Amino acid sequence: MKAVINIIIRELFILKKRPAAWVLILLIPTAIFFYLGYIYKEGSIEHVNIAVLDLDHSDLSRKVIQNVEAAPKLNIIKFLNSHDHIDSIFTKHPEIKGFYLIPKGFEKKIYRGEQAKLLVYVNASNIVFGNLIYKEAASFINTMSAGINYNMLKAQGVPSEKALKMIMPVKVRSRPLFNSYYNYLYYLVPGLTTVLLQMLVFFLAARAINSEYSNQTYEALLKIADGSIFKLIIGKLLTYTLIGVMVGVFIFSAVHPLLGIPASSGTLPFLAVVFLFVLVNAMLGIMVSVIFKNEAIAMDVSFVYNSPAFVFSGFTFPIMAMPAFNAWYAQLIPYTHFLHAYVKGIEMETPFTFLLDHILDLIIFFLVGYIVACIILLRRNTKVLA
Amino acid sequence: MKSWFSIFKSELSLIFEDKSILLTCLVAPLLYAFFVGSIYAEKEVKEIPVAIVDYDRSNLSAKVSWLLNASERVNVNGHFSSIEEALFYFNNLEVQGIVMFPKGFQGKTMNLEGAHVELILNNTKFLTSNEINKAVQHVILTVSGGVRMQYLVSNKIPIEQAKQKAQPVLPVIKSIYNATNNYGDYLLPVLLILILQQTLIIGFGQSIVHEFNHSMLKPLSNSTFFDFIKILSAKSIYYLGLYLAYLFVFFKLIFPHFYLTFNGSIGFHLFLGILFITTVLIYTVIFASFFKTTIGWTEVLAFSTYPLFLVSGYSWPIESMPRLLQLFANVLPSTPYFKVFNALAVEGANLSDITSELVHLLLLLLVGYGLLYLRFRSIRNRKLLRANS
Repeated sequence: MKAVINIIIRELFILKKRPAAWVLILLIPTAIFFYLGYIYKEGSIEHVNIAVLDLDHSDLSRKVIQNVEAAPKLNIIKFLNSHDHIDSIFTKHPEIKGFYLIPKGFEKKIYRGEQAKLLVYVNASNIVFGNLIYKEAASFINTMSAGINYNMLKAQGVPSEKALKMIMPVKVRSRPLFNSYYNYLYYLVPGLTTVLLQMLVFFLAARAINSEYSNQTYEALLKIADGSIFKLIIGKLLTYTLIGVMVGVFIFSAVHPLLGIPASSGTLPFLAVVFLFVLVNAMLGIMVSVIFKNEAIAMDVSFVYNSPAFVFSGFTFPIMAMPAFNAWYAQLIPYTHFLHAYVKGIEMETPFTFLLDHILDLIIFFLVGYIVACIILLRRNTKVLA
Repeated sequence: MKSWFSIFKSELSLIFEDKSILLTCLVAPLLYAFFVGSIYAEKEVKEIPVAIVDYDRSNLSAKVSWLLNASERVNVNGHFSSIEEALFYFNNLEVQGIVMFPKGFQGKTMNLEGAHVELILNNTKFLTSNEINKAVQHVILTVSGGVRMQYLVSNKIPIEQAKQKAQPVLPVIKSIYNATNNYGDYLLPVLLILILQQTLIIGFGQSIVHEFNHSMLKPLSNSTFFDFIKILSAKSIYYLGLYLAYLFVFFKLIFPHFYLTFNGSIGFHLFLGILFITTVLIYTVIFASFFKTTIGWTEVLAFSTYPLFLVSGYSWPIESMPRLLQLFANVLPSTPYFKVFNALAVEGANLSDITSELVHLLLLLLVGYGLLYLRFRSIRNRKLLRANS
């Protein structure tokens, strides 16, 4: 036990002398996490700039425009005319993200009882705006259709209450759970902070052993560990786990609350999973550090392995939509499993039993890292002794 | 001072000797482009699993379930007789949504008494939640239209006329530049450019850190700004050439491989590429000059990918960010370049449409050059002070 504590103290002193480690331990949690939250401070897009092209110039088309103007998220910034080229509106006016086109004869068709088209063009090169305008337009046009149907039924003598039910015989009652207001801050920032936690611990640990070779201090370290590989690994592992857990606790107790991300009743018990997640990444980092004696290469390998973790995790693009190989590779990253546990444990607040599979997966990662690191170090020691 | 050409030659040998730079600049860009790019090869999310809870067990609820299953985006993954059963799969993330038909659904619908279906969505992930919502809304609108039409037909209105009256205004929503509003066409072009930017920053930065601490840029006290620029230009010309070649390969091979739209003349794209790469190189020199070790540089800069991308305004509008971040976003070369690239390659814009972004990029290049001069003077003065003391 004493040897392990000595290794931890020694490791902390080594880290103290590494400026980059300070940047990682202090700057990432205190600056980058808040910076990321600050980007999404508004939570959702409140206004989208659109234009209107009215080719009908009728009372009804003007009423349509008034209703579009009244839509809370749409902001009409330009009235186009027939001389504007439809094909180049988005390139000539990049601030316009979509436009409504009311075709000629719109009013006449409606009054004749014929179906009229209302066209909405969306600049979908950015799907954030694309989806928003799509949603607003679909809802607006259907409400408008319903209004016309309602007036028609009323004119036929159908009572108001009955007419209301007839215009929309079936309604969808949507209940978007766990982030009802489609807030991007609540959606993205927990994912970003936790994936950076993985990177942080992994990167720090990826220099744990190879730096001892570079500085020719490995022998001295082994002596402190009483010649035991087990004590050596545990000492190093506990140091990085301790740092990672502190950052993890900081994320859940300070970063998320200060950014206004809603608290979850599952947070406290979930810290056990955070501990395991940090432990796994510290172990895998140490494994990389053992495999690659060259620190720079170990760092590159860590970079290649960790930097796409977020996109592979299924956080923004679901794993089921990825090709088979990518979907398989996603399983080789601990963050993917942690994310599932995070979503269930913190966001959905499911019972702990739903997390067991993911915990087991993380334990497997740990065992692989530990066994590989032990085997390589034992073989190296045997060679040195021989 | 070595000649320009000999500095260039020593940079080449450094790249081939330093496995880390070699990996970052020669292996990583292509590896990432194919490996990460292929995540979005399918581009769209299809067959999202949903559960059906049918308390009505009627022909209509069965028909609506069938219509839902027939839609491309959704896949009915199980029919359940109670919400508790479905919730087990929902909580286990095996289904992303639950569609529930209450008792009396068919009766209320057919008697025009106002029926409803419940849709429970897992909104922890927006993409799947949005797609399910869209698919369910579409099916229900179709069913509602059908019911209204049936009512009109029963009132002796001819079928053709009833069809039109059932939906008096037909929404025609046209998604331009990304017809199916898919995630792949939206993210992939800029993700590929981001891969190039990040590998360039990390790889070139490693070389610069090495130079400042171990080689020609170390004894800067006797050098002029001209010498400084000579060393930097000889070092960076290789990276400029390499990354221009990457841009060419990306535009000509990787974009077509992933079926990505690429408009505009390749020559003009490469010209913009020169501007962008040069600006990135200058800013990299400035930042790398603050680092002592190449590993420390990699360690810290590995964390820059998300912060740089997310503030660029591509995934989240700059106008929606706080004022301070808007200012910060506008001093990054990626912000105008992503805009220009998207406008030219995806939207097919002309030169006249991108003038302001082009000027923005040129300004950043000039400001970068000025900052580089200031940084040079500060390093040299410090070294002179140290030498004198």
